[in-house]
Amino acid sequence: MKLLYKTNIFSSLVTVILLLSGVLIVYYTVIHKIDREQDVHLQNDKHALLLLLHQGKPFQLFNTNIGERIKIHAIPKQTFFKDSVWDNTFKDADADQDDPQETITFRNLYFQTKIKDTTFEITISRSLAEGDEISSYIATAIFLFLFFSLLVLFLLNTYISKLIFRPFYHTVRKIKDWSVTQGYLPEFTKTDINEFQELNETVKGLMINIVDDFTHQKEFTENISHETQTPVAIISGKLELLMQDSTLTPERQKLLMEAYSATQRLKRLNQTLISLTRIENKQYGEVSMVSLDSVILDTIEKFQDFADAGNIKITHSLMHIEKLLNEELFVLMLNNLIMNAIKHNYGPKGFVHIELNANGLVVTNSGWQEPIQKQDIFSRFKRYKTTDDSFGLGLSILKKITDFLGWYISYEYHNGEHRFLVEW
Amino acid sequence: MRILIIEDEKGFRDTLVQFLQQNGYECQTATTYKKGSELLVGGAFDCVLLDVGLPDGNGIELIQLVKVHSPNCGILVISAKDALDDKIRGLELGADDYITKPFHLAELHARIQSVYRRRNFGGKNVLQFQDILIKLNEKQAFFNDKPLQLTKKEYEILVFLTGNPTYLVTKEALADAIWGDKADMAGSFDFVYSQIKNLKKKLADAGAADYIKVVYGMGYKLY
Repeated sequence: MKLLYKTNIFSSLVTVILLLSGVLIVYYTVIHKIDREQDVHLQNDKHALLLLLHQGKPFQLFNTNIGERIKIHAIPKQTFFKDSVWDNTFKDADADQDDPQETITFRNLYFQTKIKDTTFEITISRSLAEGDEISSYIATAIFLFLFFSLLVLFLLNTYISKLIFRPFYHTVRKIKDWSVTQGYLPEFTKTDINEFQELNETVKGLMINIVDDFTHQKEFTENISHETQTPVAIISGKLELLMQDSTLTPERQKLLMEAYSATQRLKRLNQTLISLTRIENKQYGEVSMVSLDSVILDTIEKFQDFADAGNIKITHSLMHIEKLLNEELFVLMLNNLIMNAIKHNYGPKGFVHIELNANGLVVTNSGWQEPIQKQDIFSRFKRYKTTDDSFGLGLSILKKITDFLGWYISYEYHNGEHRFLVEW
Repeated sequence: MRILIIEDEKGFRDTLVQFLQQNGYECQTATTYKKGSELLVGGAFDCVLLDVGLPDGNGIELIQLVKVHSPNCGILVISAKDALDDKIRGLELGADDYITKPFHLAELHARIQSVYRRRNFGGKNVLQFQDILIKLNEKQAFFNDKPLQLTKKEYEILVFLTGNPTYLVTKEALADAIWGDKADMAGSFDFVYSQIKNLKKKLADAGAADYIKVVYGMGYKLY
């Protein structure tokens, strides 16, 4: 959900900042306003008190409704001419029953006045606690309201975005699942969002082009292989006829033989290419239940003569494994593996060992001292030794077959032994 | 033996004609489906080689014609390597055998002979060369009427060579015929040499002259 995460994160961050700053502004504005209200009250208190004092009647300070605390005491002479207002924090024993230690902030108005002949300094105080409390409640209420509204909006936004982006995810999935060799094009659902519709159409057009190119390439390879067969047959036939001449000098015989061998190589190359295209075209579709171990035994028997000629011993360790697959394809793979093992064998005690178990097939053979280059080993036409004429193509057939069967092929070299591993 | 070759590719056709004539066959050719069908209606052939890819039709369709006008004629279909359908259809319609391009001429010869024998000798299916006799039905070879103890491969080699008498059979042709496709991948032809060596020894032990001539670097000849 990275896309939604990204779009949401940004707007969420901005929202949170706005929310917090907004609430802070509200809080401090309200507090300020409420507190200043007290100043007005204090001014009224001052007037009321002065009135009371100048009347000269005795009164009880705490009976008046003037301010909350009043401090009066006489001073020798008037020093101040301007009122001063400030905050003060002090403990108020009976302010809060629950918490006798609690300190409360008071707003104080200090002034001096002359009554008859005495100068008094007076401080009237009003508590800010209530006002502050109210401010807090207001701010909290606003905060909670805003918070929950934004939360709801956020969740709604996420949900709706997911819905809106559904065609996009659908398209991505279709692209992921598609492969050129499948032979059909995916269907994209119609969407009323222009950008996604455009995306779908563009991707579809791209896929059509890929399929076209692929098909043309395939047809081209097939045609070439096909067309090559006849000229090769002609050359081979004519050479064969030429060779019947018993008056040929040894040099001419040699020339003919070399030309003939070359045509046989061409023949083999062509046939391999044809096999490759057949696999690509999925012409090995038919499957049946095949006993892998019996097929391997048959194949070993077929290759016995070749092994004997090279003094190579073939051994095997086979479990009874049955699989549903195309037998011809499996045989083709085996032929390739075993023939490679025999052909590229080396050493006085040449051997080929075939192991079959529940995990896969292993063909090990004694071989050339240097290991084969691991990377590119299965890409077409990568030769092992330059004198070799069929190794590269054979390996790529192996890869094609194992890919087709959904198996995994790998190569290892250890201590003079080459090992091909096929896992399913 | 009279053979009709229906093949449109000139180079290929000429090679076939030259080869078959060298081996004592009478040949006639047709380059199109139309010409081929005309000649077949005349009906005077022992064997017909049908190429599948003709310019004006599929050679396979001519099989019917052969069956009608020359019921005793052997039919050999020449098809491309990967055209499984053609092969099957050809055999279903009544062809005797098929051979896939590209092939060794020696192989073609062996097959023509085999088709001919099947059609014309009924029970008596034998190959002979000098004092070597091969009874194909019993899969047994004899020298001067004494049976030869040969392995399967040695027997098959002898049959193939005897089917192409006095013809130089290349080691590739031999390998393909006896060992099949796998022979393509072999690195060397040692496995052929060793079988030939054994065969020659067995023939020598039985008292035969050295009929199998080894033409160094090229192949083998039976004469």
